[in-house]
Amino acid sequence: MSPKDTWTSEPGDASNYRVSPYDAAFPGTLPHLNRHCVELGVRTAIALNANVQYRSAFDRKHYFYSDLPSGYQITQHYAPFALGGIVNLPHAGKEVRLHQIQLEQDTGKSTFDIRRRLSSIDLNRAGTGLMEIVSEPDMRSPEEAGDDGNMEQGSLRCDVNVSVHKPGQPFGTRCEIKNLNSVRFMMTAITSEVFRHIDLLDSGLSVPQETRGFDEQKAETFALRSKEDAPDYRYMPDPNLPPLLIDESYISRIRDKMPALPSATRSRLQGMGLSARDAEVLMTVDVGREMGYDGELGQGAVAFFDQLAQGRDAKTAVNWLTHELLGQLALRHESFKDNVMSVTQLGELIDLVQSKKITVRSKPGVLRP
Amino acid sequence: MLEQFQSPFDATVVQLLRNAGARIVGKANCDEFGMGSLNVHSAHGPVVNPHQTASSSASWEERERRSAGGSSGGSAAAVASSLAHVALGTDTGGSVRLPASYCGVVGLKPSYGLLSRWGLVSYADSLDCVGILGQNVQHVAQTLDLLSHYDPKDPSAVTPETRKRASEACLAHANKIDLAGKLDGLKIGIPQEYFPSELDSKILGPFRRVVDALKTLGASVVPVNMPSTPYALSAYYVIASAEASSNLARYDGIQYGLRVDAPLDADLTKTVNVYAHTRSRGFGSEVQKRILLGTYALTAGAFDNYFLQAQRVRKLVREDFDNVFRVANPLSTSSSASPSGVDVLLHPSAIRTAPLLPPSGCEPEGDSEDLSSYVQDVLTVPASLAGVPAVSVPAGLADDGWPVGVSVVSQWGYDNMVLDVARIIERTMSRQR
Repeated sequence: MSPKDTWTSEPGDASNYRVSPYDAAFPGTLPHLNRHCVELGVRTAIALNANVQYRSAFDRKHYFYSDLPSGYQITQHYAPFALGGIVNLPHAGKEVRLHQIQLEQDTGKSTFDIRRRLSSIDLNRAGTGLMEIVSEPDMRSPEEAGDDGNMEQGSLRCDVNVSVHKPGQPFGTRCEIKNLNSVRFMMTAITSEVFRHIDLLDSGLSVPQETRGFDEQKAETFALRSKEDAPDYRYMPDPNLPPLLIDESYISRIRDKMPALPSATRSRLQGMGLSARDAEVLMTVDVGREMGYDGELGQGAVAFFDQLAQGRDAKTAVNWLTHELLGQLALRHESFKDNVMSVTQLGELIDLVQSKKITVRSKPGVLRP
Repeated sequence: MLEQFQSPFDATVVQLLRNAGARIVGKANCDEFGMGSLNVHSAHGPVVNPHQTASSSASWEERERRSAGGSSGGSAAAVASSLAHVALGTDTGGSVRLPASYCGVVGLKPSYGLLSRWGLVSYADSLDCVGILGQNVQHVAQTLDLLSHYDPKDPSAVTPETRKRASEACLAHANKIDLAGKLDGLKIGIPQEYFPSELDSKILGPFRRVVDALKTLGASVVPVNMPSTPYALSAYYVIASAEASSNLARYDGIQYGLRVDAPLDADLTKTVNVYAHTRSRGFGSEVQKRILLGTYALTAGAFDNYFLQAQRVRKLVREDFDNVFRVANPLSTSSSASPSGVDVLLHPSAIRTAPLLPPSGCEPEGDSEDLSSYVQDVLTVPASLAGVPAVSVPAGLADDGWPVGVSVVSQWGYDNMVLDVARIIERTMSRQR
């Protein structure tokens, strides 16, 4: 929630390299709501078909932990900024309902060195805006939970709730596994947790409701605290931040300048004559395009294609782009954002070949240095 | 807790003073984290009221040691003893107005949201105001002018548009009443609920003299009712303690301030074990008391009955003020002008003159402490809960020879109105002397 330009850390910064007095909870500092966070939140809510609330508010969630310097996290407990929503799982072919989306403040990071009995705290992340998406219990397998996911950029973490039940019977007791930071770990954690529940039930025991962590080395979950030990977070409306008021014109302004959603882009590309496979290739490359923390997108493969196909045959353009340009980048182990060839340069090359001004014996290799 | 701590930045109000060429001569004593009414809960010891009664010829050491009031007792004492023209204090529930009353100086709690809280150590954010103490109303008014600016670093700062709207409304209303001429346009309300049984009758003489003087000048003085007042004190302590328990959670010995290491056999994997020693040693008993009360008020079982109930009472207290004033609340769309309302409220600032300090070496702590130091706040917390401006201005001396203050309170944003009326009181009372 601190002003982004000054204090938001980038992954890879040295520990405690970007910490404002506010992040370290110095006396006399006050929070400041980052407008970019609100905009990104609303954009997400629109993309996920959630209902953006005209009035939402911020609350304090209290607990003592060394990576939380102020002793509370600012979140939206009583009135989140978006309710409901739907996520489509393309491979499972089903919908997952969302409960709510809320804006929060991230905590710092603590690492415990067991050997030296020492906790190290990194506050780079503390105070950064965070969005929490809470789903309904609609996913039925680790595969559905991991469907089409990309969490490798480290900007996404998740807590999963796991329960098992026999067909036709009500849901079993759930356990929450906290802080999973990759799709692979999440799927492993769910699988291991499911078998743990089944083993307990098979041996005639019940599953106690608890909060658990995940040991990446052992690939199994471990108990953090039981339901009885669940902390009382003493939620209180934050007395500093005024309610967040969002009006319809703000929402539609954001809706208007939103990048096209994947489903819309897919059908647009296919409408231009591209095969489903070509469209998929462009969009997969596009996913990796750089997204600034302010939500501004770098130019991706789809936009490159759109410009290249201006006044040219779409099929030819996509062939040059996917086979030649992407092929050469792959050979050099470079990603699309490392590409130095401009749309104009590749366009002129295509035109020269097409008008037979130059000939190529075999196209592959034309771009090779 | 913060004895060795030096802030890496200046408060916005301090910065504004420096920019205007003010000389900062020192930091003043106060109750720890602003919690107290007598300035006895301080690691530096109590502040002694510098007032000297006319009949007293005793030397400084021999003199009666009375409290300067709290929590900003040091600021009031500094101004009363002419160490400074003006001093800043913080007023969460009366901490500027009460010391002003005890020490015989002017103390203003501005409308909530006018002065930036950036750099102010939070006690209860929704109530905390930077207050101004001064030797006379003119000094306070000039300082208010200097400090009343929108600060983007304070999320509860009122926007420039609202400021403009409120100050224009205030100016228009002041012109209509014509405070410079005869006062027959000014309507003053005396809230009946501000005379609790604990109010010392010595206060009433000076208060009546002020009322009479204002009447003589042409003002009409009417009794008014503010029915939620008796509940304001309880609501105040629930809200202030709850916010304090939250705001003071940060003093844990990790990032800055006092650090008391846990004993060697402590289980350090539990964060609370690391924090507890620092917090138990670093906080004084009054602060610990309020943190515990506030923590309780926010627990899941008590939240509805205490915290939410207190918020409801706070709303009623606000409505009391909106109902009684002639002008509408610039912050509220539901508030409307009521032609039969009053322009300002007038009431004693304190239930008594400055009380005696406990003999030195005698701690005022423990169960023996009576509730009078809390009851005192009856007269000051309603304006804090409502966020409206209130100024305590000297009203002469009581029969015991010690200063008495009267408070002028008005609608939100009408800070200049309370200062104008305070100026009239100051002028007439000095003529009477």
